[in-house]
Amino acid sequence: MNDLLNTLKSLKIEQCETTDLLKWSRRIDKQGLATDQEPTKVAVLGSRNTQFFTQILKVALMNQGIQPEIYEGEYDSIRFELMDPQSSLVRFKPAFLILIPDTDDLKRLPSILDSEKSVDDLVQETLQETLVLWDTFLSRNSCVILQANYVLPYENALDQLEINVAYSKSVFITKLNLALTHAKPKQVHLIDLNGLSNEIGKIRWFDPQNRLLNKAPYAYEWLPQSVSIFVRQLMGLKGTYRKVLVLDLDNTLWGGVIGDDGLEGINLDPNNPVGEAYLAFQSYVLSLKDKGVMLAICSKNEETTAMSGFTHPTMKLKQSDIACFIANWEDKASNLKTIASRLNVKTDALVFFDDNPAERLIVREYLSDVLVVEVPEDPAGYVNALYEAHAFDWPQITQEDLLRIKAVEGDSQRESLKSQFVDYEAYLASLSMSATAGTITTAQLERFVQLTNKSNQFNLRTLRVTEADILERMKDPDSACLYVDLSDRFSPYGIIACALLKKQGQEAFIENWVMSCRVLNRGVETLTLSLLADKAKAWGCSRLIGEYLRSPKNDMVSDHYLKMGFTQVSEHTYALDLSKAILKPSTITLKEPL
Amino acid sequence: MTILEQVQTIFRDVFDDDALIISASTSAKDIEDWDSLTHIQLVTRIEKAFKVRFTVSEVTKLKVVGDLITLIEAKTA
Repeated sequence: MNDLLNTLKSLKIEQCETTDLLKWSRRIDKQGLATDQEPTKVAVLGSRNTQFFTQILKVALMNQGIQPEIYEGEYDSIRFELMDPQSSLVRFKPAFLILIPDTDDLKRLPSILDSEKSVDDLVQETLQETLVLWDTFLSRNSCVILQANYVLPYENALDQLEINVAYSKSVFITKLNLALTHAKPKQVHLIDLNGLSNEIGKIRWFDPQNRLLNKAPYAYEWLPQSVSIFVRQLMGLKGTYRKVLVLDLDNTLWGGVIGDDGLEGINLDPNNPVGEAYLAFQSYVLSLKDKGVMLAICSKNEETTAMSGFTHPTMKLKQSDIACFIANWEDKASNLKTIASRLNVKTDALVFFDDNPAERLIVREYLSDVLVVEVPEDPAGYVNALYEAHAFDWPQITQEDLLRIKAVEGDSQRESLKSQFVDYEAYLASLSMSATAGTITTAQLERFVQLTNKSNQFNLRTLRVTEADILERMKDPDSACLYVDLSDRFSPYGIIACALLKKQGQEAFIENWVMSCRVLNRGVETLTLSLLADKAKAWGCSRLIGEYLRSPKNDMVSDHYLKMGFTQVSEHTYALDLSKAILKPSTITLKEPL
Repeated sequence: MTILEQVQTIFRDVFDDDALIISASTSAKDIEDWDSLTHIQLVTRIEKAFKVRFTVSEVTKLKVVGDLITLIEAKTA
């Protein structure tokens, strides 16, 4: 049984054949692979056949280490299941709801020569039908909806006129998809199934015969890819995603070997096709950095030689773009561990891009949780290889992701400042820290959920939440969602600590407490504790109760509550008497929230 | 290999059963996992293996393995 689980985990779903994945699915059904893990409830509803999709979804979730519990709706039952308050779907209580409508659902289409205004009106009317479904279901159930957009058809009655007039089917569906983007609530994430069909090509995407024989929405050949885009979003929403791109230098960022060829000898020539390929790759890497991906260098070189490459006149990446720079002769697996620890992430947050197959092999062998991109021989294919790995398919980008890059740049300045001070308090004071703190508002919801879900190390109970869970707690007078937003003289950090508190009679229970490791030992721990204590006292509670639940990654906080002055009352539980005053740290100035 | 033997190899693979023996009279009720989902897989695999294409009408008329063999023979003749 463990063999099967391990094999499932090693599959590369997108590269598998549909028939092979279905075979795995049947094997799972026969062996009944139940782990002691809490199952994740996922519901799938579609306007056409979803049976194959569901079977492959099960394999793909197990591939990601998730124990799935899947509910498959009846054929073409989206409307009924979402609207009926007593439907089987409602009783199932999904955490994630996958909806796959079909373009043939759109019964009302514009007529030839309709005005743009009447087309727009029809878009709005059609949109309303979906909005009602979402709102009705989400008002009764807390879950995240992953909905496929409408796939534009292959065949077009109007041919070229299709994109020249407002009343064409293509224009109508495109407008409708855009309208969904604009109108969707936070708990809905759209999945670009139409985009996937474009990548594959409409003529290959559709299978008219299978559509008739099996009500298949598209050719079964593409199920591995279409299931994967849903699973990537789902994993991201559960807090599993990668943050760092680790790059090699020689023949990865530039052509040639700088140690042998010298700064003048490396190829970064914008007038040479090969040099252009490396420059194009650098541009793509920079666009990843712009969305919040941290960049690191891991190169077998002398450090000074490696760094000199960044002074090349046409080099697009600058040394200041790099959050962690390692050039030495040690093995890359060890270096990747160093990079992870310097950037305060686990190695499972790393993506490794290196032209040398031997290095890739070593990293795969020794650090199996690092995503190793299969790099083609020809640099012309680098950009596509990195894109196709979909390594940074994040479900959202927050202000904090962007600030983190600045903060990492600030880190080196901060480190040099630290060495000037012997007295730690004096060092903290010199950072001129200021914070806003208190109960979150909806504006902070997204970041609150993101930090709660992606923090692994400083995380007391590893409670994972959805935006819907937090919205529910925000409405509950016996719950509090508390945050700290920190800045110092080098950089703004944004929200770096989150806590959930629940009133339980005379006691207030800390449902979860997470903090970004970047601000460890800066007084934020004490500040958060004072927030918790203030809230508990306001409720009239006499004790704060904290619990530490061990996870594979949160060893760092195993004695956190003891350090904070709590007393241990049972194996996992700690209590703090609230009659004592909790002082706020003097080195952080509290400001009013804007 | 006869057509039946080649088809049997595909059946064994699709149903994940190396001991599976089929004959011209084998039908869906003889094989537990033979449902509408595995049916389309069988058809797709056979189309690929024999480089033939069945029409919707032909696929809906397939009842026993013998029908399949006759059809393959007709198309590859």
